[in-house]
Amino acid sequence: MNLLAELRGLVAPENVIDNATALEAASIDESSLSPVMPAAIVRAFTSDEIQRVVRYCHQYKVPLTVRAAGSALEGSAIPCANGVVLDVSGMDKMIQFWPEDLQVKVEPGVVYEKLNEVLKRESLFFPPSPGGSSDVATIGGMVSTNASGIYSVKYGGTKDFVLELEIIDGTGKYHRLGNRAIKRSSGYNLIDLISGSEGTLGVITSVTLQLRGIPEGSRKAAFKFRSEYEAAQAVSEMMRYGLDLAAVEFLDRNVIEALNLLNNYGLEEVPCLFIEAHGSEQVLSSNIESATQIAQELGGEVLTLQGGQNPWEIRHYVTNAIKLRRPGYTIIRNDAALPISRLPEIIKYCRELADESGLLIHAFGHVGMGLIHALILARRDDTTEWQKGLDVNRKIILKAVECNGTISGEHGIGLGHKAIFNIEHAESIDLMRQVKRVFDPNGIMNPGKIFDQA
Amino acid sequence: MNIVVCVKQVPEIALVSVDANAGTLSLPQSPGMINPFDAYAIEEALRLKEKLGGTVWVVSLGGKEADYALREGLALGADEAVHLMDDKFADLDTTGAALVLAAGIKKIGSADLVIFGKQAVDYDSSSLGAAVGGVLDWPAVMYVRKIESIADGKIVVERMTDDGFDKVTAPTPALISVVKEINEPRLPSLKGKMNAKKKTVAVYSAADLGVDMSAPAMTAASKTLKAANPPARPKGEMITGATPQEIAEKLFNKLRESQVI
Repeated sequence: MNLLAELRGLVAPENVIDNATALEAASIDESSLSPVMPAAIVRAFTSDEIQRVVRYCHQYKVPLTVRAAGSALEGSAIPCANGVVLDVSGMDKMIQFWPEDLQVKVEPGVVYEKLNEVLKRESLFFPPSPGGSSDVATIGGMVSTNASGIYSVKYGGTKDFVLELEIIDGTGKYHRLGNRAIKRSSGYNLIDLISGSEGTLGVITSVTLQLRGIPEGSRKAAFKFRSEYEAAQAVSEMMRYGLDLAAVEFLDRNVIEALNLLNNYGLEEVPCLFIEAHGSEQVLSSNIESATQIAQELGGEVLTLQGGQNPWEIRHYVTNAIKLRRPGYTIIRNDAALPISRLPEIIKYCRELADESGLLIHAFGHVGMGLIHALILARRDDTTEWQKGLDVNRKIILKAVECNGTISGEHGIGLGHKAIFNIEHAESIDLMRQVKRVFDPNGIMNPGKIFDQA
Repeated sequence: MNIVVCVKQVPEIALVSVDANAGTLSLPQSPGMINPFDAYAIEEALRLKEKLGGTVWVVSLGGKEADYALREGLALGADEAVHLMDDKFADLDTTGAALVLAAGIKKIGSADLVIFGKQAVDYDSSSLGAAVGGVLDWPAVMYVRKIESIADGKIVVERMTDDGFDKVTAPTPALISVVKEINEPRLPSLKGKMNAKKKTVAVYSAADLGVDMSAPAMTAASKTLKAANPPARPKGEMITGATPQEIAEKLFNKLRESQVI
């Protein structure tokens, strides 16, 4: 069997790529995990082409990894050795738009920001903005990791917007899941099964999304606190009283320090909360007022930047500020999520671990939905330090699981968290393996991601 | 504070192509969009209104399609809309358009400030704002990136330059054009759109404005002879090699040979 020649018989020959530069580019994603070289990249433009490639891979048991932007953070877009990468980034068309129903059907390679650019004209938007990668992340990728972003506090994650999916399963068979009805009590919810499955069950060929209207108004506020613990308590209180907030972001003092180093903001290096409300004037003022009251009760003060700039703008630079803080250091990341009332506990735990290990940990996240990122800086070439970093990372994630939380709130499991996946899912991992077998009996769909198929 | 924002409905630029044989532009069938730079002008006007009170008008000179741009302005929060529409306005160039817009602004009457986007993305001439300022005989400050203050009969702004900015003070009423650095425009909400649909747009013809269409300036002095794409760039050379290192090395040598590095 000559893989390249056979693939070239399935799609236009020029869409089967095997040059070293392209393969190398497809061997990594945005995680800090090691690259894995695939044998070929197939650029697909139609559902039929996808079907032919999957059937072939199924028949000859060739591992297949779907890819578009490659902006995954836990290795779910890293291919298998000598496997095929199915690049769907060229499937970037809007298939149908029903503005009157607030719905749109798109191909999987449509980029998040470009979609919203079009939707804006009808005063609509697709809310779960995938943070710093919204200009590259694709809708297919967002569904496959059930991605979310700062506005997920109010609107939910990607899966909450998916009405219908068309997929090709691991045998090459086509399925249409769901329909355009907003509420259904009709059979198994297979859409939720595909959302977050990281390309291990099939290839998404179209996504129909429920959209939201652009809110009448929005208002932002920011607060600084004496301690991380009090900031976390404030979040817990704001959510407990059911404040209608669209975004609630937390930055610890190390993050503020990194931002000051990056851009000379001159901010006091104390933990901060950034909040945003959406809605009518009445909703905005009542919620921002209540949030301010809660913050102040916990010792918080309103935060302003020198020159009166909106402090929210600094939120965009967080990851870069951390990345650039110590040249030669690599970020070890996590995205655990847990019940909001347990936030103070895990934030305190992060600080204890930082003191104990001597490592620099930056904690921030969409805390309004209990999601916390604790980015650890360590030198990869210093084996002892790197291992220490990995150990601390594991401890933070396990603490979240111990608090009845999850390993991943929005990035997925991929390869990065695979080793501890069974700790969270000890009682359901076997069922997941059986489900995978139904969709993908030959185990070709992104094998080795999330869990190993024992 | 009474503010007039001049807006323009432009074709969806991504869909415009050059018909090389006819030597003309092929315009898309879609209704088009509001000139993206005008969104910054509207936003700045709304922010001033929110701070200082007053009324915001959106004004557009154009055919039926200009109604879209005006409704967008209303959806964003403008109070009033004025559509300058007449078959006789079909063939105006910058001077003629400036005379008509200035007449429209005068008819509104009480403006303290007129704001333009820095240019329209269809013809990119970037001259209409200044021309309207000239007709009105008001100070016109182009490429404003920040309004520092507007009070006591004067406006203080930062005008963007290639190297930085000038701080400019001008008496009001004044006219400015704004660059995209000035703000981040809000998005039109569904509620705003609903409200905009119900609002009445005032339509003024040449007769309503009292402009003399027989004046020489009302006949376009410039004429588009031909539209063509710029000549295609010569084909690049593809550098190939077995490994990325080899390709990089070849590229490096080439760049050195041509003294780029």
